[in-house]
Amino acid sequence: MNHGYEKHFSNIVYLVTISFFIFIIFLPAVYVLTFAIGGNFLLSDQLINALYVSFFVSLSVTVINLIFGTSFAWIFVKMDKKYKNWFDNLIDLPLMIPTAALGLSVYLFWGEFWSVGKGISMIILLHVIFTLPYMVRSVSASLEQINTTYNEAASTLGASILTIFRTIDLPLFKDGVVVGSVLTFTRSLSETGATMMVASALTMTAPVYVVNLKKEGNIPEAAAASIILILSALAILAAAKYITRQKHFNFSTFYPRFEYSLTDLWKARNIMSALFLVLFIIIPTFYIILYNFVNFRPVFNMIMLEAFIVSFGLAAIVTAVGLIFAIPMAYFIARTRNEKISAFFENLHDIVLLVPTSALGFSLGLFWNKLNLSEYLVLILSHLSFTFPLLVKPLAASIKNIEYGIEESAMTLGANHKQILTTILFPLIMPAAIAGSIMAFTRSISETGATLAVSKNIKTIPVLIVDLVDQNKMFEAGFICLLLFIMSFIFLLLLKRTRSDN
Amino acid sequence: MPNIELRNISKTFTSISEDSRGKIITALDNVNLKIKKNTYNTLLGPSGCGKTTLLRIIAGLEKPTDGKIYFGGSDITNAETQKRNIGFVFQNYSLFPHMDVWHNVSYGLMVRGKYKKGKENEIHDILKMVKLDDRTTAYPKELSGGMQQRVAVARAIATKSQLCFSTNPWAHWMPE
Repeated sequence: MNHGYEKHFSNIVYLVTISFFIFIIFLPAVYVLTFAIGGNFLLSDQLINALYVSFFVSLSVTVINLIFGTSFAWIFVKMDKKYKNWFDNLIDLPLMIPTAALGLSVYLFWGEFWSVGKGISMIILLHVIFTLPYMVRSVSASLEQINTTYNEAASTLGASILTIFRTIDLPLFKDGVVVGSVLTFTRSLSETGATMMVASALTMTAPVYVVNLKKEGNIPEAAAASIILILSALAILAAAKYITRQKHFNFSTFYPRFEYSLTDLWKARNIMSALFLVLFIIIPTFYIILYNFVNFRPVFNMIMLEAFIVSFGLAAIVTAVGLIFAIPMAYFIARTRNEKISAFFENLHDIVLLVPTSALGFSLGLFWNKLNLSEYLVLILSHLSFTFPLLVKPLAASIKNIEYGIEESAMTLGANHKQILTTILFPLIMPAAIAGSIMAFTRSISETGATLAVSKNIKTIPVLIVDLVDQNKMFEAGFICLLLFIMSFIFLLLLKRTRSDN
Repeated sequence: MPNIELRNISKTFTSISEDSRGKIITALDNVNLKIKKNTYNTLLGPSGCGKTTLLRIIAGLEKPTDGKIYFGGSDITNAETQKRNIGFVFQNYSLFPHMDVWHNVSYGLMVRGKYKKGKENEIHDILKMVKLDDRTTAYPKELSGGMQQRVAVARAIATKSQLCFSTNPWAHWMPE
């Protein structure tokens, strides 16, 4: 292969990849926004109420996670190494467990065991569980970058623990707080399947309402809900980008005596955080295992088997197809010399990642149904939309960490592009590819909102769980959840393995 | 300025490196030391002999495994770092990256509630003494190694602490 041919081939690959992203992933995801231009949407009182519930829940969950998530992140970063691995797995577990399974566990624990009724309180209790890891991970990643001697220097200058946290640490890890808050808020805003189990008729969230509207065929109102949800995600992303660009905080106000008097309270946060973790996260998450243990009877039937085949098949196809396009996309983002173009495509991926999936699914359904595609193909395309960024982001980060000089060295030694890809790049990005694949696979398995918004007849595992709970078949639903827990734990161990290899 | 007295100070660490995990390492073994008022003292020793560990123990950043520390006759062995009022210039300077030179130097006064009207002149005088009075709005990353060290020294002495330590204080200081 001569150099000119290779350059043309690379350009064609980039063109195909970027076209795939724009026309298959991005445009269908935001297609519903065109309804706003055409005026083809309806804002009813019920929809406004659903939006209010959604934003109230997401905001409450974000505030709770800011307090406890930041505290956990702090504890995690300062923790002794021998406990860190154990805590590390614990933080990630709610992310790996499909939210439908979490929803059932929370519903059984708070609803049947403690008689908490369905409604906003239970929705908040559920959402805190699967969003807390986003806050803990984002904040701890930032905290770990802070040089510990800054704290020591501040303490030699007389600052109390609380003053050090506010004036030294917080300005330095604010980016982690902002990212964690954005991910928490948008993930909570997006959640559908599990919310369906714990919401009441009067306290329905907007994504659940979109699914119901789609079932009724009420397109204008579903379009309005989707538009507002998508625009909210965009506004939050823009606000987050703005805040993280602000490098300096005004910290000129000090309250030495007041902050020093709160030192004991600050020290008590470890106990308060531990209690919160056990009572509100661990026990409700794992209650389904106890439930199965007490009520166990194997109830696996053909419908369940079909749901497992559909879900796993869908996730496998989505991950494989996504990976084929994600690698060149990630390479383009990581290696392009024009930083503005790189940032532009990164932002587009962030938008797709943050858009609530029921709105995303509704938009995709509207787009692809014009072409009369099969329901399963539309489902694949919708799952591809929200899993694609999960593949691209870790790959792009991995490629950015590889010095371009390594590829140049290979070139000077006579390697062509194909050889550089297969012998240099692929081995180095393999852990990121595996990690991204695991995240995309589990995300696809877990997804309910987009599936319900796009298809009428296809039953994936989470959709089946929601249906079984609706029919009050708790044992069957509980059994499927137990299988999902076991599967999630295996995937978590695989993910940890690839991270440690990386 | 009161005397500092160290009595039988010992410090041991447990190794966490893979080839000697769990092994006890003695950094300080029964150190006795008296530092008189109004004196300038230098601790000299080969790299890794425990000089920085000793200073960190006096500053309260490490707890001694054994022994006592007295400051003006009072036992401060278990006193918090914040309460010891000891200036410390760190080996890597540890300037707060999000604060400019002025705020770095005045931080100690601010957190103690001592930064009142009139104190600006004192801060200005200290910065003039270290020849950085024209760089008050610069951030640490905009300064050279020598300038950063001077800011670290200025920060430590701004609080008028009764005792001031520095690890390798003149490493980047160019004679003029």
